[in-house]
Amino acid sequence: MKKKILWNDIKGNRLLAVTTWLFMAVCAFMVALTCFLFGSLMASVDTLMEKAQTPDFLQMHAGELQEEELVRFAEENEQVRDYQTLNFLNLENSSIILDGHSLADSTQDNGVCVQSGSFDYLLDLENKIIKVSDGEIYVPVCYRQEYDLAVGETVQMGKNNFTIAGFLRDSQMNSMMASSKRFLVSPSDYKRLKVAGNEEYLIEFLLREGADINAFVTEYTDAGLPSNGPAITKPLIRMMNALSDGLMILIILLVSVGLLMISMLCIRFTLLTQLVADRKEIGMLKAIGISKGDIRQLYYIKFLALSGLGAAFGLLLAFLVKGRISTQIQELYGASDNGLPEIFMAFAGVALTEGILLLSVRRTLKRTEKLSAVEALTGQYGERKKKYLPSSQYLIVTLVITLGVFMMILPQNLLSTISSSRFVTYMGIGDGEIRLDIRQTEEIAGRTEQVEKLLAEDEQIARFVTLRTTSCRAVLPNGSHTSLQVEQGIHTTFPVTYAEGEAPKEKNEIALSYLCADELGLAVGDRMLLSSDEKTQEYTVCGIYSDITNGGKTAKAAYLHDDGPLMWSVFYVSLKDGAEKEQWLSEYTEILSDACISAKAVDIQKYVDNTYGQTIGEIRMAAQMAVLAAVLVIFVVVFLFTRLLVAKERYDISLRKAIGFTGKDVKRMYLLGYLPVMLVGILVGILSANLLGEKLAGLLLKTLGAAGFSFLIDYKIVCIGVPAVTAVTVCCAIFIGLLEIKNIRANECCMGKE
Amino acid sequence: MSELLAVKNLCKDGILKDISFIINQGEMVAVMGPSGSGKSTLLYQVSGMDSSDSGEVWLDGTEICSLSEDNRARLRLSQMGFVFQQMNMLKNLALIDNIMLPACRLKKGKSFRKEMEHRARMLMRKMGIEELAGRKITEVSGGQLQRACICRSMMNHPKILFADEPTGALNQSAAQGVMEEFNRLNKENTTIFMVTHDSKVAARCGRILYLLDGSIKGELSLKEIPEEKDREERVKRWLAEMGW
Repeated sequence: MKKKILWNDIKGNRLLAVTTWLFMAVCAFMVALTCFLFGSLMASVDTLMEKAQTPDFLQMHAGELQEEELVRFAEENEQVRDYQTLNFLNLENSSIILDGHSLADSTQDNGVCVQSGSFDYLLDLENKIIKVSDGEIYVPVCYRQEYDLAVGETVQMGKNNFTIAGFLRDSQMNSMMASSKRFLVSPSDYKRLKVAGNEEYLIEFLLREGADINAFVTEYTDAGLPSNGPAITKPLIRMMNALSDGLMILIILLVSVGLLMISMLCIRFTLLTQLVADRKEIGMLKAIGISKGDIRQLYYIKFLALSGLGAAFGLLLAFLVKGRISTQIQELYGASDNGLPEIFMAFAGVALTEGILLLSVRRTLKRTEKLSAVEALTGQYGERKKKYLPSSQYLIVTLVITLGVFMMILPQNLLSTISSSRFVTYMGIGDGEIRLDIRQTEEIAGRTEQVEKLLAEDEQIARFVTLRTTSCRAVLPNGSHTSLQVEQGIHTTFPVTYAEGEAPKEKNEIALSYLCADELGLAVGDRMLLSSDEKTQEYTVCGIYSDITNGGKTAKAAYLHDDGPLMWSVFYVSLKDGAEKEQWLSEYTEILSDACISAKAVDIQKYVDNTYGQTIGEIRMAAQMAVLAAVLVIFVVVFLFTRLLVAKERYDISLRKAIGFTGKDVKRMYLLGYLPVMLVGILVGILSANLLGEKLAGLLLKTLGAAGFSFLIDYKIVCIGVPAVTAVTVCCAIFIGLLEIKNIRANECCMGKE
Repeated sequence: MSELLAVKNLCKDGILKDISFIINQGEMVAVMGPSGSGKSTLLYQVSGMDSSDSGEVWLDGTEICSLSEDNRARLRLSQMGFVFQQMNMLKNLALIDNIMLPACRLKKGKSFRKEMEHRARMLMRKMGIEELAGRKITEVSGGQLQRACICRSMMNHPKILFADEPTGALNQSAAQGVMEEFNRLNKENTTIFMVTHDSKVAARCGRILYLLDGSIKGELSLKEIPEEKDREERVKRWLAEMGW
């Protein structure tokens, strides 16, 4: 009997049935896709890191290296499981030509190395350890797509030519967010190339299980071991690997949540409408003794069946398209060893979505239980009237338009923010035009002064600052120490974005990175002790900023009372109006090279394009998906609700026609009725996406170390593009929904078909 | 005759005031009274569709008022039948499926369903609507629909049948046909408790209770009057005496 009721009900309300199914299918598709992609990304990254045996701690260093001291430290330190020093030959980017494409414009440090002996292996596309022969080269996989490379093509490095034997996955440097890229050559080829580049060292440690990485980093710094290059830990490597693709997944997740909310709203509304229409039938069933549970089931089964079918379809569709969307993940990190967790996650995600939806249906159906048989039969609801009747149809449409606009704008804002050159100020890089780095070289202090002099004499430069980084020790409340890289100089000229407080200006002021402040448990206004050699000095925390460079745990001070040996220096430069940036950069590269100063000069906008290009591309794809989903949902909901409205007001429309209104007049009346709804929806959507969305995105980025986030809004898109798309979608949906008016005859009202 | 329904000191929201009466097995009792006198409210209370403020309602030894809502629903399904003025039926089901609806909760299985279908058809045959079994509820007349409602009310062999203005929405001939069916069921020993404002309908019952302002003001027995016309006359006179 239930089957019969269910089937007849679906046949009688095809439009509602299809809508319920469609909503669930789209929700399930998005949720399953998010789970598949997230599961696939995490599993692939983990598999790659496990197979490559990624080090727990890596210190880059250039210059003299006392290997014996490192060996002794590694042997004496109980946390160390294995240790190795790898050589990395840093080559001039202009000397590297990949099948005719020069890397001169690349902001990455490109170089060659040989296969590691005991861990940190470079893997091929099947995640197997590569064995390379003489004359062959393995190219980082991220360059395959970028330069459209294939096996057998030629790579030129200075005067040496190599044949591409394959592409490599580097568990440390795969992400474009990692600043270096390693090419793999044979030991004899490496020797041949050695004269063409500067050799650097990768000092790598594998730690025992349960080891405290932060404590180990402090011990390493305290031991005064080589450290003039960036240091990085395994969790940060994992985060960098996950971040670029993670942002795309994050947007799909946000869209999924939006869709789920819209689905719940619409299904709830249609259900309430149906319950009101079926009020007398419900009353009769109650009166003859059919239990509350059985009545609820009659409706529940329908939603269970329709949403279940939708969920299965969405899951299947996600399974079919996940391969296309995760191409980038698969390319960079390879397939995971075990695909089951992502399938399980997708199933769990869809089950959760289905559960939330059914719970909402169940809650709505509970209203029928509160209504007594007498109330339902007589239509006298008493106090419960408001709770039983659905809220205004226009209110639901307003909410759906709001959510749709929110779904369109939020990814767009993220895209414009990340594409902007100012985004680097959330990543710990100053708001300048050009950045020069002097690191991983001998005599950093002397060379810094040389460059400073050169810059001061350059008439094309409007302003510049020099920031010197030294290693200090922060004293923890329990008396123990932790190492801290403090950047000293004027931080107000090219500031980073401060989540709280401001840049240090006075003596005894210090600003901390978000991760550092979090670890030390300090906030703006708190005091902290910095020690160097025997002396200890107190500083006041004046600001907290985001930083993902140099391990993310850094500090900035205007003056240091006692600065230790210089680790590296950074210059931020802005040129005078009319100065050609490209030309200046190439001139300067030559000047520095003539003066034998190993410094890296980059255009910050190009750095953003290089570093976040891949992420921006993926976010653009997710943003386009979000627009498509939002347009589809707005169209379906507005169309459906217009059809419902016309069906509900059929008698009134007929009456209007009977007294002389034309079909056009009636349509105009409904269009005008929707106008305020649309305007309010768009306005609230824009405001909520820009204010609430910013907080939401900021909250998620904060967990990744980027605090104090605010959107850099593209007003053309937000204020013109999105409202225009929404308005056109709404108008089309209303227009098509109102076509039914043509079929309503003027004499219907006279025939008592109210 | 044994006592089937006993109502003792029933009160509800000031609409019903201290009502007490007894209905015996096989009786056909009508409740009459002007609009707002509490007739329908009384039916809702004694059938357990609504809860009372105080008092007791005993159906064949079971006190209804003290039962939970679910238990009252179970009792209605298994021991009572209902016919309403508005012929409420599920629009998504055919006439026969609507008639079988109360039985679907009792037992499951193909053989039971067959048995129920057989009973539904038998009831429809008795009511003269068997050929309409597969029709939609929108494809039959009001009188036919009300007969189908009576069939539905009889599906689970109820001990008592409650009817709330069962002819209120029907024309005269359809109303007469429906009342004949009630009389036939009553002759087959079905106890009927009916609310009506139609004196002709009430005249077909064995006993009439007159309700005014929530209290029973009078009672008329028609068992001794065999002729229908005489009964109608007697009811009219009595109602006039009661101030109708």
